[in-house]
Formats: sequence, structure tokens, C-alpha cells
Amino acid sequence: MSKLVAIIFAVITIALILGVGIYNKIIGGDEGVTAAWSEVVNQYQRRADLVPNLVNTVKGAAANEKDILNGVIEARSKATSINVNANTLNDPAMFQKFSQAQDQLSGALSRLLVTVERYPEVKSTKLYQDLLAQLEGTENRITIARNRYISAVKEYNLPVRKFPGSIIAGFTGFSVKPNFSVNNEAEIAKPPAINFNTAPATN
Amino acid sequence: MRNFLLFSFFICIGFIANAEVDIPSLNSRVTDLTKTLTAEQTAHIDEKLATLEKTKGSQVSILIILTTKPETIEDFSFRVVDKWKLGRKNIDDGILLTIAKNDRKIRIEVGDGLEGVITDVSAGRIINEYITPEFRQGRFYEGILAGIGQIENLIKGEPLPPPSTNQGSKNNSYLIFLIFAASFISPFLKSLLGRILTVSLVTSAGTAFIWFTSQSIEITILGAIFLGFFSFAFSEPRKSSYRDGGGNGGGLSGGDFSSGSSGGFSGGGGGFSGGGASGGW
Repeated sequence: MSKLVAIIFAVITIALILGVGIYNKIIGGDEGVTAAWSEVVNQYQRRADLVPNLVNTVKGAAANEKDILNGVIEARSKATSINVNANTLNDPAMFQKFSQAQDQLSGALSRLLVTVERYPEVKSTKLYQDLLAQLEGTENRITIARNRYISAVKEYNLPVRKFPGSIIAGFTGFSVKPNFSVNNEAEIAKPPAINFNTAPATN
Repeated sequence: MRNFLLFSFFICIGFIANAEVDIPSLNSRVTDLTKTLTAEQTAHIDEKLATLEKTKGSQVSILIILTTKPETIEDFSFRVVDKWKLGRKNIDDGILLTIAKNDRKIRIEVGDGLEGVITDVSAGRIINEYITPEFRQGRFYEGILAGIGQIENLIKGEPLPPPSTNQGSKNNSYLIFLIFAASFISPFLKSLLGRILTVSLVTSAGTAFIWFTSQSIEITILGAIFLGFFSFAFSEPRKSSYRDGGGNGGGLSGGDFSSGSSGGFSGGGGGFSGGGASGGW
């Protein structure tokens, strides 16, 4: 009889220890995701801060590219108008909106850079080159920050979704975090259209 | 056995054929896979970089390869620094100069701790104003020297923590210690509490310890089973002289214990997050 009690005691102890451990792991993962997310937002903010300078530099010489310049300014204000904080991570719709707005800004910016290629007098200025170096560096950091966020979410979601953890996560109110996805899958699958005859389309 | 080896060899070849460029192992400060530099030139650059590390602590390294295709040089060189971990831990003062000779591309990858002093703009200028003009004339050695000189000047102006001489290494042999501790404690506890209670107590305490140090469910479960078995065996009344001890540890150590550095030059654990600039010639 006492043997049975001892065994039950041992099993309960181990279950409790494992439970606390998994809970701590989820908490740790949650912190990791929040930190990785802050870095993503931080780098996007850095890019948004660069945009006005870039637009001003290009504006002088390329005044007749109004459409493209306005596109960049609009995309920027749209991207910065979305308020993001740690709660965004618990709201997949908000996350999706933020991610889409940033992707739009990426698209607008890359169209602007392609356009500037036609203005050697802008391209050759030191100011533009420096801004370009900063923009490239920021885009590169964004890629890395996003990759780190993706792996942080993977690390967090695994114990939340796997068997013993899913119960504990359910009890303590932790849910699966949203991750970045490719928004324009169809666009990527399509081969790029190259037209040598007419002026580049302003899509 | 030989057939199996041959088979796995071909599988490996198949993987290499359509995968990204392999990251070379880090053995010295200058890794030249293209034989662009002569032995004396390599030695001279290596010496310069070693002096910098001795005086400032920052690790600057150079990698010359033929191509990074199908990846971009940014992706490739980030993979390299992510593996090499140049720079000191938590100071993150590592720099990698990647040169893809056939792609005619250069990148300066800057560690987190140096991003303030070597900004993207200054890295871009080092590439465009000091390195590429030399490279265009085929003078790789001169270009690299000029680039390193500029990087050196920037780092020298930055107050960094002084380099330390000793390197502490983390010891992961706690599991072996734990099993020994359990095997010594079990017989004593047994006389006080009885066998079953001893086994459960030792096992649960040990499991908790393994969990908090390893943070891995698999290792913890394995460790719990192992500890249970050992404390059971060692609290055995008749066979107290049963001290086999031979095959223990082996099954457990496969987890996340990394081996130490293997001589020569190795990264100090510095972190990168994509700072730096790229260019071409």
C-alpha cells in the first residue's frame, strides 16, 4: 500500500515538475517572440525614417515622376499609421494588415529605385549613394529580423501546439502566434514581363 | 559496409550539387579558396589582423571564394558569420570581408557592436572608394589592404572593452556528476526512507535539475528514466558492490553538447544582424 502511495507521489511530482518546466519554456518562448518582433518593428521604423530623405533627394531632379513619388509617400504613411505593439501578435488580422502595408512600401520603394536608374544626375550624388547604402542595409536587416522572428515563433509555437504543452498553454491562455507568409505568391510564380519597346509600365 | 559508405557518399554529392555553397570551416583569419593571394600576402594580412585583435579585441576576417550563386552575397555572408561567430561574445565586434571573385561582388558584414562606428554608409564608402578601384585593376592584395586599413582606423577610434587573455569554456558534464551523486546518495537515503521513497525522491529531484539546466523535454525524460534505473540499482541491498558504470553517459550526451574549438583561429561568439554594405567592381 505504501509502495503504491510512493509511486503515485513520484509520478505526480514528475508531472508537476515537467508541467512547470513546459510552462516556463512557453514563457521564455513568448519573451523571445516579443523581442524578435520588436526588432522587426524597429527595422521597419528605421526604413520609414529614411523614406522622406530619399524622396526629397530624388524630387528635385525627377519632378515628373510624381506618380511614383506619391506612391512611396502614400505607402509610407499607410505603413506608419498602423499602430503596432506586443498585442499585435495576438491579433492575426492586425498582423496581416501590418505585414501587407510594409510589403506595399517595399514595392513602392523598389519602383522608385528602378526609376532613379534613369536619372544619372541623381544617381551620382553622394547623398543619394549614402541614402541607398542605408536603405540597402536596412532592407537587409529587415530580412534578418524577419527570419529571426520566424524561427522565434517556430520555437514558441512548438510547445504550445505539441501534446503536453497544448494543455498547459490552454489553461494559461497562451495561443499560437502568427507568422510571416508570402503575400504575393501568385505574383512570384508569374515570370516577370520584360518589354523592350515601350516605356516601363507604371503599375 | 563499404557499399553503404559509397552509397552515402553519392547521396552527399547529390546534395552538394544542387544546394547552396558550403560554408568553409574557419581555421585562419584569411580564408582564400581561390588562391588569389600569395602565401606571403596572406601571412602579412593575417599578421595585421592578429595585431588588431591583440590590441582592440575585434576579430576581422577575410573570405575569398569564387561564387556565392545561387544565393546573393548578402545571404551567403550572413550565413557565414552566423556560423563563424566572429567577434567577442556580447561585445559583438566581428567583421567579415567577403569577396566573391567570379561574381565580382564584395560585402563587409559588420557585427552588432560595431554598427555604430562602421555604419552602412562608411562600409559602403570603404568598398566604393578604397577597395573596388584597386580590384578593377586586378590588384586584389592592395584593395584588401586598403579596405582593412580603413576598417582598422574606424575600430581604433571606438572605445571597446580591452581584450582578455583567458577564455572560459562552459562545462556540460553535469549529467555524469548527477548520476554519481545519485549513486552515492541513494544507499544513505535508503536506510532512512526505504527503497521506493528514495528512488522516487532522487529521481524527481534529479529530473527537476536536468530540466532546469537542459530545458529539453527529450533529455529530461531520458534522464528521468536513467536516474530512476540508477537509483534503483544503487539502492539494491545485496549488490552494493555493483559498480559497473561502463556504458553510462553515452546515451545521454548526444543532446546539445557542442565540442570545443579545434585549435587555430575561431570565432568568439559575436552576433550579427545584417549591418554592413555590399558593392561590386
